Amino acid sequence: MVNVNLIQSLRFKFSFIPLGFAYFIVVGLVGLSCDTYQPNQQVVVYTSLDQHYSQPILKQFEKETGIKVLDRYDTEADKTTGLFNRLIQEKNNPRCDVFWNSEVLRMVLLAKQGVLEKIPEGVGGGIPKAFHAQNQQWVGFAARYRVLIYNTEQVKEADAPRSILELVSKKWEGQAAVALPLAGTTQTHFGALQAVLGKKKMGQFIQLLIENKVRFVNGNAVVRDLVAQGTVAIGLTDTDDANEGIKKGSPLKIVFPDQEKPPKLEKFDHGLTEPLGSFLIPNTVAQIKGGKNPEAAKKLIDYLLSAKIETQLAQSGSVQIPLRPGLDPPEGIPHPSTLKLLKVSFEQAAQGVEDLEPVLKDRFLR
Amino acid sequence: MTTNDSSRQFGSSGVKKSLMSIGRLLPWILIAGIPVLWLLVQAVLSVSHLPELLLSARIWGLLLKSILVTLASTLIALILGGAAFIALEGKPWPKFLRNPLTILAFLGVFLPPYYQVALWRPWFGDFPIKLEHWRWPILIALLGISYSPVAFAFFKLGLKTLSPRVLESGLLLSSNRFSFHFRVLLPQLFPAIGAAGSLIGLLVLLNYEVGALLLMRLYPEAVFLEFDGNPKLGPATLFALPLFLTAFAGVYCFWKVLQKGFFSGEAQGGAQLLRYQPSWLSSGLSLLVGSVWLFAVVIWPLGRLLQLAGGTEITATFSQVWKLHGEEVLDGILVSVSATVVVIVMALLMVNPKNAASKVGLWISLTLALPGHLLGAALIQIYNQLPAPLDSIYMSPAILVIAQVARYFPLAYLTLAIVLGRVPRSQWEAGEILEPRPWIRFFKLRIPWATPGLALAGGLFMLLQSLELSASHLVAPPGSQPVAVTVYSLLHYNTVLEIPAGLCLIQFFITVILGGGLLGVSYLTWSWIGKK
Repeated sequence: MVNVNLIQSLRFKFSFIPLGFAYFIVVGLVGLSCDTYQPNQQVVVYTSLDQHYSQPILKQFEKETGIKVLDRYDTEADKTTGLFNRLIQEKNNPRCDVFWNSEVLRMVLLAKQGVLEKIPEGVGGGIPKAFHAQNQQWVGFAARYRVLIYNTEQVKEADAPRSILELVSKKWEGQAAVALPLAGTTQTHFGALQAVLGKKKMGQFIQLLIENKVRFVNGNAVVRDLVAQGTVAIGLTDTDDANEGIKKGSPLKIVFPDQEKPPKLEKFDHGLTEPLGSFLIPNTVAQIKGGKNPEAAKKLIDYLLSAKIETQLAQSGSVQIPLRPGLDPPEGIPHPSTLKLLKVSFEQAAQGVEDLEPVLKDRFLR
Repeated sequence: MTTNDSSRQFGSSGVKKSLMSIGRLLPWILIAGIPVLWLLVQAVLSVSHLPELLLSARIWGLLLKSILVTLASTLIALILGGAAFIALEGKPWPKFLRNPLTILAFLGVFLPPYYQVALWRPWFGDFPIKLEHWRWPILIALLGISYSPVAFAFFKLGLKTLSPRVLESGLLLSSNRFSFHFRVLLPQLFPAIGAAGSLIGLLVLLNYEVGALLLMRLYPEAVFLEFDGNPKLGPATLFALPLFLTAFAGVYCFWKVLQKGFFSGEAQGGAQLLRYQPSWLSSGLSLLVGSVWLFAVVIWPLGRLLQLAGGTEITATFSQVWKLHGEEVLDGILVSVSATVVVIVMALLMVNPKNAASKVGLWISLTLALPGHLLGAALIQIYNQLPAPLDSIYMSPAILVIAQVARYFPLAYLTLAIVLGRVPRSQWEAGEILEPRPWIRFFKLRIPWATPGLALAGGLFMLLQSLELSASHLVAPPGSQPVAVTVYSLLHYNTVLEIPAGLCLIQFFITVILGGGLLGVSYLTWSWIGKK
């Protein structure tokens, strides 16, 4: 006869093996992660600039300075907002040292939330003051224009739109594409327009865009593809995306919009008398308050804001426009000093986005 | 004292029993249970949003769209997988070709749906955006084709559980081969078909990347956007509730079918019986269907990836891939191996071999039904609040291990439970009588009997974890981006395809070597639980 009691009691003890294993998991995972912190020998950077453009620059920094870069990228679908949300979640225990944002709006909001450290005066010297935050919590560099593009096989140069307000014109009904204004540069652009046009007129503009059957798609690259393939005739996108299409040989042309008097539109009384101006969105860089590697962070920020990186980004496929006077813009793209720019501060644009957010969600989150 | 008396005596201590169950489940509770609980608490705290959400036409529209895509893709996967199974099991294939062809067919399992997007992308650039109405059929077809090798694998596995006598009688009584296939074989394989269907359905329903890459919004992507737009977990969890419940229905079906068809009975040798003398028509058809399927699912995709990766020169591409993403690849191997080891040990300790089909498996499978982004977001919130030194987990690849284990451990658990459950109970009891020391029993009985199951579980887990995207994408720590996320990002950026194609190939070969190795071990050690 087997001593069943003994077996059962041994089995009971055996069940504590998982307890031991649980301990092993906790200790093991902590052990696996304990070599992550080596203050100032490394720098943690979150960046929303397309990985294939930002990664080579970060690798170059690593090679030149010997400081290990721990990089974290966003995907095209959640441009900027994914990292923005992560930085907010981490506010009480910051893990990131430097945030390299491909646009400016989220940086303004992060500054407002107290996530950013003040960048020392003199860093980013040479970049015009308009691209420094009022309290120097972030600095802009290498920018993109928001531009209209058209398919040259479908639209003659003389007929091409000259203003983004024309997106609500009957002429382009069902023929235009815009990225969903829920994230990225399109959202910032909409925020800036809200700051200029005011809440009522902007609401009307959005409504007319929808009524005019403008196609709202996932990202500026998709806008470019749709225009390049002739699915729609015109689109609103960024210079870097447009340029990629042109480089591939697509029948695309860029229009730097709103350099002339605003058009009269059948349905939209915008009330503007002066040209709206093109919108320029810089990359921005900031140091995170409480980051574990402040010295390395400063070095990286200094590096990113250098003339060398502005030039490099201008020459890369992303054709970012240098903000420093005297640096050559990419071929075929005018220097900001030669164009009429949208007269709105980035803080105002950020406020515009905040005010507009419920409307955008209501209309576009589907 | 009789066994019953002792059980009663032992069972009288309810606290001990509960402690035992909790002790057994503790690793799962630590890794996956806490995030699930966290989500639940957040959802309860935001419950006031529920009526508004449930009345939203957007949610039901998304759910309907996702369910239709799931049903259609699953049906295609089952039809293709079933046809390939019948074709490749038939007599016309020369004997020396049978095993290589089966291995080739299994390679298809390692080619996930988003690889297909990479393959077709150069043509998609012109085709589906121009003819938008074709995008839905293309999405469904891609998912169906991609998952058909999974269906094929289940058919093969199902055949092992059939009784040779039933098949033999069926063959004798059937008027022709077609009648045998449709009236005898397929009904007999119903558990395998059900298990394949529910698993494929689950994977399709929660698939985020293919819809996102083809610019068609399905429910999982909408859940991500909901969280992305408002980083509060409660409303996002409630938003995902209908999707979760639908997915959980799939999990329930999967578990139920496994219970009915796989948890008991002896392994058989049914496969041999399909190799009857065929007619010229069925031979020709088998050769045609088998070849076309193998070409479409394995040969062409691999060839096309090689062609894309070799845009200028293949060695240059690989050297560039290695230069840019070498660390990610190495980190990926480390994470894969670590996660698989964790899963194997957890499964070994957690499965109760004498009651493998218990409901525990169903509750553990809860995380299979969770949209990956939700799980990832919960992990970010939880691990952000841990005190030092635990908080460093969040910034290390360990968080990827946790996310992937939390998401796919249930499949490993169920696989091992099936294999151990098929060891006759009498053998366990004999083992207890002959060896009262549990530690010795553990090493001398449980591990050897579990080996094929552990290897199978590890292989399946490694396959799914290496392709896991939605949770990994959110939790990936700086400097350790998983290869799947990089490939997805590059495809999304629509850059030159050489790099993502090169990465796809590297990832494919690594997964085949590591995961395929484990599956091979499982196959070779299968005799522990019955005939090969």
